[in-house]
Amino acid sequence: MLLRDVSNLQVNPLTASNRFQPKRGEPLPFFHFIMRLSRYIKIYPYAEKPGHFLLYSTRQSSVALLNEDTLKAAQEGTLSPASRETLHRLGFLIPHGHDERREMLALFDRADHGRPFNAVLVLNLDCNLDCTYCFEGGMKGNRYMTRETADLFIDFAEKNYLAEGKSVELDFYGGEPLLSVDLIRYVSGRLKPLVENRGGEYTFNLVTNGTLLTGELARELAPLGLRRAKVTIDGPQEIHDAFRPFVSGAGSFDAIVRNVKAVCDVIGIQFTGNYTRENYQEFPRLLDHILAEGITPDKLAMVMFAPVTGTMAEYGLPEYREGCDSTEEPWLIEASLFLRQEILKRGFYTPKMRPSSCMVEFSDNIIVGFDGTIYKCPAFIGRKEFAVGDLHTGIRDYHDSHKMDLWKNDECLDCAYLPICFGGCRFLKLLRDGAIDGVDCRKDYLDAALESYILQDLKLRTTAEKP
Amino acid sequence: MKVKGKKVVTETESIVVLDAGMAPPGGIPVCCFGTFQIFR
Repeated sequence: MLLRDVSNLQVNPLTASNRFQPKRGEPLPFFHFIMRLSRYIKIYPYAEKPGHFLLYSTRQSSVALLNEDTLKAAQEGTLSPASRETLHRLGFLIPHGHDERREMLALFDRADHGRPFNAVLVLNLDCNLDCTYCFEGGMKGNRYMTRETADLFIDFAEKNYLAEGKSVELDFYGGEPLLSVDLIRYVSGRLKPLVENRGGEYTFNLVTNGTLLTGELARELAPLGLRRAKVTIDGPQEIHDAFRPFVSGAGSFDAIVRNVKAVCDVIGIQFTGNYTRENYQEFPRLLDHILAEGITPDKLAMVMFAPVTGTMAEYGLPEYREGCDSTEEPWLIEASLFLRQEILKRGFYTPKMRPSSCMVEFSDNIIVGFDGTIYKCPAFIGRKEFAVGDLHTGIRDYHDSHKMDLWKNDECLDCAYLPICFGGCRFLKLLRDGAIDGVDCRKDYLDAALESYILQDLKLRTTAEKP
Repeated sequence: MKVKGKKVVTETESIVVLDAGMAPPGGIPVCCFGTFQIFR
């Protein structure tokens, strides 16, 4: 049973007593100033230890256990300096007068500084698999990025993003990017020295179905900058092979497991899979299978399962219309908690709930289609109304088309979940309602699931945090 | 007052740091395809 949320217990810091007195003439350390609880925290009574409360900062993804007296003192502004300093460091307390809402509004301006330039390059819309739910299904075909378009991208990147010391991280995407492996070699061969000569680092990742990612290829590409590959296996063999067969109809499961086994010591593997309401309970068998194959937790950078996402009629496969398009679907909470528990129980790393945001928010993140069209999100590939420019003419203003202000309202800015939501997913909103005319609010989902996520982490997470 | 490891304790106050979390900003990961597919 979910515990009562008491986040709204607040005391006016202006009327709270402050029993700590400075020595004459000495400057006050920051934690002596009046502090108040951050608006971006959740407080849950801790059932395992009566009289204690779990505090979770959505802004910092920190967790602490406080007894009742400490929580009361934090709310009333009467904490000892050591406790104040601790709770401030963890993001639970902020100095009175600090404007958290303004900080959130400016977050992405600041966050952009120091981040690498990230581009997702859609190298083709072709694939050697014939997945039943492919969201690119209606666009698939013999469409490949040419070397001329790749040259345009490199020139575009050099002109607009390759400042002194700026690092570059590319994600090669498709279709199946390894059908364009020569272009990966070419782009990396040209960009790597351009970036490194300016003092930056060049790296790239693959979003691949894994069937072509052999050990030999990973060893060849690693010196060119390959760091990680996101590989998908949709559950145990019989389920995966039904959902993700080769074009020939043959199963792809064995080839992918064999390749993951061969490359997981060379590059980081993000091991993902897509489940449905009908099959998610079978996924633990996949975890047991890879463990038996010797793919142990230390060999995978991350394991995460996600529901099959729906697509829009004109872009997806006509025969597949069953995807999940909302965090509010009740079975999803049960499924995600169940699978997360099974992953953690076996010692694999899976991401914590932590601050994250749609890539649209970051100015140094772009998607480049196979034809040189530029987008802000991979889910918008092929949708002309969401193209933001091209490699010839550059990027035009997308403030209105992408509703950049959609979460910048009182309700979102005052919501404790803002740092782990930022208005949710524009694509899912579009999918559900036909327009991005508001936020993809996750409050109900997080009200129901966040506490359980935190408790899972406390009880089951044994592996060290991975970057 | 004693500060021992991750636990801050006074006569009445008790804080056990279970997860120090991450220090924003700059560390915000990109979320792609909504809640479901952390792209990188």
